[in-house]
Amino acid sequence: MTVVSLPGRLLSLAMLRRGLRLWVLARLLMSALFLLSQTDPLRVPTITTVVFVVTCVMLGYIEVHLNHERDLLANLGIRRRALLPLFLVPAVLGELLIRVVAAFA
Amino acid sequence: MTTILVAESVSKSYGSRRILSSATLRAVEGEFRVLFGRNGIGKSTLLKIAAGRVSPDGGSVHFAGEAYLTVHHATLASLGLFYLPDHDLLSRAYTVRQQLEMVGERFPGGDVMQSAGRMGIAARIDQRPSALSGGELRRAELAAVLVRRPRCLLADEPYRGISPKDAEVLTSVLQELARGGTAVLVTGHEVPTLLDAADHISWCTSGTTYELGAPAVARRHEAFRREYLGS
Repeated sequence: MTVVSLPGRLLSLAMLRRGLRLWVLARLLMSALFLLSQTDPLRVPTITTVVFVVTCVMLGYIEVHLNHERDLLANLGIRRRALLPLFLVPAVLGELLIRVVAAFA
Repeated sequence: MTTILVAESVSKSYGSRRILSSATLRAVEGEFRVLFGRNGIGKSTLLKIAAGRVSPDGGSVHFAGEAYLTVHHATLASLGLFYLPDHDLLSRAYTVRQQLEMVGERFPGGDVMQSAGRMGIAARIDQRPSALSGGELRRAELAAVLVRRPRCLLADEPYRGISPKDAEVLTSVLQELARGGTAVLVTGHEVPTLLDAADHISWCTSGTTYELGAPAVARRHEAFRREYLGS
């Protein structure tokens, strides 16, 4: 029997906030590294952006692991893979926003 | 009374080390069951298998009438299981209130403040778990159980690191849950407390399990007394 379980509103908001915080911190770090190498951090190659977004998602899962949230999530009936969009969306939207800004800059 | 959970003829090895060869675990609605066994004998592994937390090498898990060769903890949780691990359950990233509300949102019915009040943590509910003592943490976890109101509770060593007063509260809540129809199954080494509180005793030894029955019967079981109780 397959039980489809989506995170509730509270858990979704908490994980979206986490995804956003991780993306902001990682983006600041990446931008600093780009500036140090005298590269424009607003104009990043697509492949770099993809790798960066994947990294942000992985950071989300690492934080779940570090906070020992596996059993809590499972007790809520949530599989960890259900968190994927919640870590993916902030990073993707953030990168899209930066591309829009870069297009007008 | 209905058997809601059975982990049947379960075997499990880690590398070349065989932990369980043919162990069976039952949780029965309305009963407070205790699984005793020496450290490292496989109690926690058996509980994890029953909760869908670890896949067995052999055997099956039955929950609420469905049989599974492999099942995920989240699936069983959606059907009414709650598993308290032998480490802290609550995330350090959120307050106790936030986490109880997450449980209440997913599984409506329980009242967050009422459950926190019952467990005596209402005053600490806006703290993060890292600010709570060991006893308060166990009580906060049990508040999550009360909010969830599970059909079956598996608790792995819930008495670890708590004061006698907290142990008293824990026991009374576990008994209350069982009286309310929840199948309660715990592990632990608090022999006098658990023998007094439990309805049924199982013993895990040498990779298998023995259903000893009522505590009075378990106390008279010669091998159990000799090899586990030590008296």
